[in-house]
Amino acid sequence: MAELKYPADRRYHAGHLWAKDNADGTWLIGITDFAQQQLGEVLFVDLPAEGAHFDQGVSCADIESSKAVSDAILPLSGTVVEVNAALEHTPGLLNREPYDAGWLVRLKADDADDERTLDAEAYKALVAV
Amino acid sequence: MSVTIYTAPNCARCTILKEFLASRGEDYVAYDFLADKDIFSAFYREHRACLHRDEENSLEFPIYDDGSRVLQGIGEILAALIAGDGLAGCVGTTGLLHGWISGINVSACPAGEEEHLLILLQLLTKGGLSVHLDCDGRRPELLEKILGEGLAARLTLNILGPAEMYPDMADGPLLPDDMKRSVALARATPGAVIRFLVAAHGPAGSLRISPEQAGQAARWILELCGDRMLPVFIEAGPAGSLPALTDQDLLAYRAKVRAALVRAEINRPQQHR
Repeated sequence: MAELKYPADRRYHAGHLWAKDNADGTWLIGITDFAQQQLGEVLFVDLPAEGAHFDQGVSCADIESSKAVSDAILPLSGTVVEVNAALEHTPGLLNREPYDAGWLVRLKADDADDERTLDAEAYKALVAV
Repeated sequence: MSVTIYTAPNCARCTILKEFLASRGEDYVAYDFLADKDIFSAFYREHRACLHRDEENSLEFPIYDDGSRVLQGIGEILAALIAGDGLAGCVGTTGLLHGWISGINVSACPAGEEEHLLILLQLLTKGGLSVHLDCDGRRPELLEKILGEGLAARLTLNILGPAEMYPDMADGPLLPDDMKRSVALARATPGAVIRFLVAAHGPAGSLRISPEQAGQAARWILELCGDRMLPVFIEAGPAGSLPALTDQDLLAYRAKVRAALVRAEINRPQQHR
């Protein structure tokens, strides 16, 4: 089995989502390699409406796989400015490219300096337990 | 009418369905949800609202689609293909966990459907599944036949309430002799569980026995079997439109039942399911 990856260019959350700074005031949000492996083949993603606001630690989407229906717990508080429309017909992107084409939403963050997020090493240690 | 089935890898119940369809000479197309992920994903997107998941929240396979209806779970699919709607009352959404299949209530088998139920159970057991059968005291003759043929690996006898409440709580009356026979069959079946199922019944799910009525049913069971030491469980079932029962509520039921059957214990669902 291939080793799970946790790129160092983004922040992580104990809810198994990542946030990557777009350097324009918005952050891309997606699920981690660990999360996609635990979920198994993703079959459907129920994404939020653009403009919806969510607090950190709250689910912004339902991810349905053969093994589970899982919440997508946001690593940051913010307003959804874009959802990944490609997931409607190709939800398997979450499995195949969880850090790239499989992103979930783009978020305008309320507070990008949230200390409750983790760096890649800390998250890797968390899921290794 | 073209039939499509969706299966999972290494799925014994999917094999049972394929063999059943082949035995009837029915043409079908089969897709494995992993190997044919794009096809299954499109099907799932269209039908996800009518698909159910098991106790571990996994999607249950096989899934059957003939263009006019979507059926899911080996018990439900085979029941529909064998008997149309005839077994719908006694084969509900079948749970399937680690080789066991549940959700089949022998007591709710309609008159005239007995052979269909036996065929269903034969197919399931021949396919390697272990059947967990439910009974509420009615149809002991059919229960005896099923047990005699080795078609149930586990039995739960659910006592819904006193006999006079059965017409309102189940879909038919319960004869005292029938419960007596069912209790005897359960006692003679290794691993069988006898439980007072405190659940909501009736058309609106608004009828539930009180602790006093559970005690009344316990005295009746004692009269039928003559054994105060009969091991029985008290378990909360679906609450319907009523408030869910707390552990404290169940203590009141246990006290009333223990007045007749002294070994009554409260059961958490996962302990004996």
